Amino acid sequence: MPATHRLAAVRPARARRTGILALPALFALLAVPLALAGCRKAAPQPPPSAGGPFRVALLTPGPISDAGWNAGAYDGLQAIRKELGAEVSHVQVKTPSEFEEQFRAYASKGYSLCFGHGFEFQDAAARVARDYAGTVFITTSGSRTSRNQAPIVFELEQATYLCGLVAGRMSKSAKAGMVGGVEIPSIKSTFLAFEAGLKAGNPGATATAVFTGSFEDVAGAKAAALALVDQGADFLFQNADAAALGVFQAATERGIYAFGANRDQNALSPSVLASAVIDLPRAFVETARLVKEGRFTGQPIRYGLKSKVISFVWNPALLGRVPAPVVDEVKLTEAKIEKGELAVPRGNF
Amino acid sequence: MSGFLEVALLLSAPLLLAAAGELVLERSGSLQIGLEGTMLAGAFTAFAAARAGTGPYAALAASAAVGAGAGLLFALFAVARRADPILVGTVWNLLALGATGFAYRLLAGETGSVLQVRTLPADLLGLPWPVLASFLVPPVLHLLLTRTRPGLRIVAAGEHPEAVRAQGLSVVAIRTGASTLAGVLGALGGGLLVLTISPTFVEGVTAGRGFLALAIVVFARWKPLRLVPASLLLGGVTALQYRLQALGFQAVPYAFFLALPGLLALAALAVSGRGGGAPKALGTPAP
Repeated sequence: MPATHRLAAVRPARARRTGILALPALFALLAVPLALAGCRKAAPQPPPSAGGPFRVALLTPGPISDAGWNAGAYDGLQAIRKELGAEVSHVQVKTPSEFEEQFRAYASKGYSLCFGHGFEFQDAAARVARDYAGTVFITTSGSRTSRNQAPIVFELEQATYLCGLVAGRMSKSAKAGMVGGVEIPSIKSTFLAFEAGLKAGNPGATATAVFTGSFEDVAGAKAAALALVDQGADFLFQNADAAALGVFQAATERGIYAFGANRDQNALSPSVLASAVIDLPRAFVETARLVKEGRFTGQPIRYGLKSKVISFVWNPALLGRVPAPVVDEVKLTEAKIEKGELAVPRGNF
Repeated sequence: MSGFLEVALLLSAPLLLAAAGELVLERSGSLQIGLEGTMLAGAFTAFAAARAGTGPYAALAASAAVGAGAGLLFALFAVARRADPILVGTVWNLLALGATGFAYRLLAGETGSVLQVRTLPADLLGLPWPVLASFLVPPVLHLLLTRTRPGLRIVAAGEHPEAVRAQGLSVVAIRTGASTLAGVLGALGGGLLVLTISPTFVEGVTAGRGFLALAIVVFARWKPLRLVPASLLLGGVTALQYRLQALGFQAVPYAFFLALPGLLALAALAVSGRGGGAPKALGTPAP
């Protein structure tokens, strides 16, 4: 950037010289607490839950005002406060270095339980979990486990499979579109299951995914949805969090159906036919109870349709437009999945 | 209008407006890297006004008013008080993201509820007229900067501020005016986004478009007329990459298209030699 270059050039030489001296001094100052922190890390950690209040922290990758993935987690945290009498704290983080920094900050303050809300938190959680044996780290999605770390595995795929099945049975063009935010394994896995359901409903049907690279870019999600509709898609599935409204808007404009994800989004738009829902508050409270009562074993905690944490919810306002055999088939398939007679494919992550 | 062209224009117009404002400010010798924050402030204002029951045009006007305030605020610190504009811009970005997020939660509740707003009617060639009118801004700016007295003073303040001062003119006043215009256009860009293609506000809804607009100014080498093809190229490429993905085309990962604007700006600088056409006094404090 020529601009910054010029800026540096116009500063008086004296300022620049002090700058050169100040830089190593600054590093030296930073190094002292870092070195101390390094020493402290090696010391054994007292179990923080002993005696003191039960304290629970939540790290979300996005704003809790998204009425979706992050909002659900925050509701879960508040439910933990109310139902288990815990002291709670929340922070929004953006980069992997912040994930680790915040995990460390909470663990060193003696929090008993830290939630990292998403697949992307598991590496940072693993690094911090090694140093703080007295804190349990839960990531919502993922596979890494240790004595004090485990993921909650939401089998949302079981519900997105049902969305796909509905689209397969009802689509006239035999084409469905899927709009994703950032291309991460947990999002791709819900698409995989949607596609499998679609093909179960109509073996000749195809599904195409478009990723926008952002969970906030409503305009991008709408542009992506319109592109899919122009290619003939007459059903849209999405896993784009706050940006989902762009998808719903495109579906409404073009007179086609869309599906809600993560939260019950049926009321958001007249285009939402059904939602694949995670009851995040329930999962959070159940997990926190495990930890509080000392029953946490470091095993992944799985929730599927059977647990009722995951559900497929029709939009009551639109149910009249769904052929009765499709409604029945969904109910039947749901029962099969719950009984374990039908295994829904999911990504390996 | 075909789906592709419509989306390309809808995505280009906010970029074009924001870049046009920034261009005027940079030609006057200052620069606001907090353009993303200005767009976000404009987007939130349009959303809040529309939620409060004003019509979409009044909501757009409210964005412009807040943008003027943002431009004056920037000028107060970075021009009049001669603080480092890079620092002021960075702080402004952070402040705008935090403040709009906070205000949004007051409106929508802590965990949000999706609130739609009434968008501008599509009344001209299938698009809202302000979208098409945006493309007239660069020619107007071109005439302003080459043919009018205030425009020539802006350019002089960005090239030879000492000479401007020697003439008894205030570089601070000229740059403050340019900053106000930049604020208005940047906020209009954000407002237009919310009142057309993204009919709601979410925290960070501008999704990096302010930074994209900064790259467009460099790519256009600080020439107003070049903003039109530059922003159409970036808006068009964005719309096109969604189309390519929708066609199932996977040979190029989508992340490449996300990085494209930065690459284009770098390429423009690389081929245009020293300075790339930047105003000579860009980023220097007013004499």
